[in-house]
Amino acid sequence: MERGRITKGLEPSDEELMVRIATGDVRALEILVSRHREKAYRLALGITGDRGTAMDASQEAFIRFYRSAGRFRSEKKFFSWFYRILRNRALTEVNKRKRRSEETVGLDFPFQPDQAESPEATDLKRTVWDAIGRLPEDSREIIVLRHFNGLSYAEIAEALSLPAGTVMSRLHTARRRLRDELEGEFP
Amino acid sequence: MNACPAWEAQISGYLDKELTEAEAREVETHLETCPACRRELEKQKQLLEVTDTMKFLKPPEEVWERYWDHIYNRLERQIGWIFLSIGAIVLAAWGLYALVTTVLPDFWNDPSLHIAVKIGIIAAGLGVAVLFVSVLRERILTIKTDRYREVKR
Repeated sequence: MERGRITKGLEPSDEELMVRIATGDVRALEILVSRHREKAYRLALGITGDRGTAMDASQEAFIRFYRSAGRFRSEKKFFSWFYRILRNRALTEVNKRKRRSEETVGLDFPFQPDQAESPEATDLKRTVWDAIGRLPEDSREIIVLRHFNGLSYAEIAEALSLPAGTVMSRLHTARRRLRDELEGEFP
Repeated sequence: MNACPAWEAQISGYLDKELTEAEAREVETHLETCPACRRELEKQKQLLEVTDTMKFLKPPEEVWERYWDHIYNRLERQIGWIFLSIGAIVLAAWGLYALVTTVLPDFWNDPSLHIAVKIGIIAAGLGVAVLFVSVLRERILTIKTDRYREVKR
C-alpha cells in the first residue's frame, strides 16, 4: 500500500473521492480525512461525551469507511454514508462503557472554558449539558448535531436520513424535552 | 397561557434562520398578535443563548498532525493481521492434515511402543487440546464481558 500524499490542484468533490476510495485509492482517503476530521471528532464527541473515545471512534470510522468502500452507491452522499458509520462506532463505545459500569454513562464537560464568564454561567452550561445527557438518544443526537456541530436542517436531514420537513419538528420536540429537563433553570 | 401548538416548531425554525422569507414574515405577523408565542420565542432564545456560547474543546494541533498517521498505521496493521491470519490458518490446516494422515498412523503402527503407551500419549494429547480450547474460550469471553479489565492489577 502506497502511503498517501495530498495532490494540490483542482479540488475533487467528496463524492468523487468516494469513487476513488472504492478502487482502493488511499490518497483519496487522506484528502477526505483532512477535510472532515475535525467535524468527525466533534460529532463523535457529541455522542460519546469523552474526548479520547471520540478521537478513537472518529479514526476507526474513517477506517471502516475505507473498508466499506466497495459498497458505495454513486447516488449516495458522503456525509450521509460516513455519519452512519461514525454514529455506530461512537454508540458502540458508549454501550461498552455502559456495560462495564452497569450504570448510565455520564458525559464529561468537553467545552472550552471562558475566563470572562461568571461561575453561575459556567454552572448553567454544565446543567444544560447534563440535561442533554439525560435526553432520549434521538433527542440528544439532533440537539448535538444542531447546537454543537452547527449543522443546517438540510445537513441534519441528510445525516439522519430524514425528510427535510421533519427536521424542524423533531428538533423542536427535542428542545421541548430539554426545556422540561431544565425546568426552573430559566426564568 | 401556552403557545399555539401550530406555531411552536415554526418559531424554532425562525430562530434558527431556516425559514423562507415568506415563512419568516408569517411568523413575525403572528408574533405581533400572540403574547403566548412571543413568550415562547423568548424561552427558546434563552436556551439558544446558552448553547451558542458552548464550544467544544479543540484538541492540540499536534493531535491533527498525527491523526492521518494513526489511521494509516491502523489500516496497514489490519492488512498485516489479515495476511498473518491467512498464513496461520493454512499452516494449522496443513499441520492437522499431516497429523491425521502421517504422524498418527506412523505412531500407532510403531511396534517398539507398547499399546498402553500409545493410548496414554494419545489421551494426554487430547486432554491438553481440550484444556487449551476451554481456557482460550474462557479468556475470549472474559475479554468481551469483564467490566474490570481496564483496572490495573
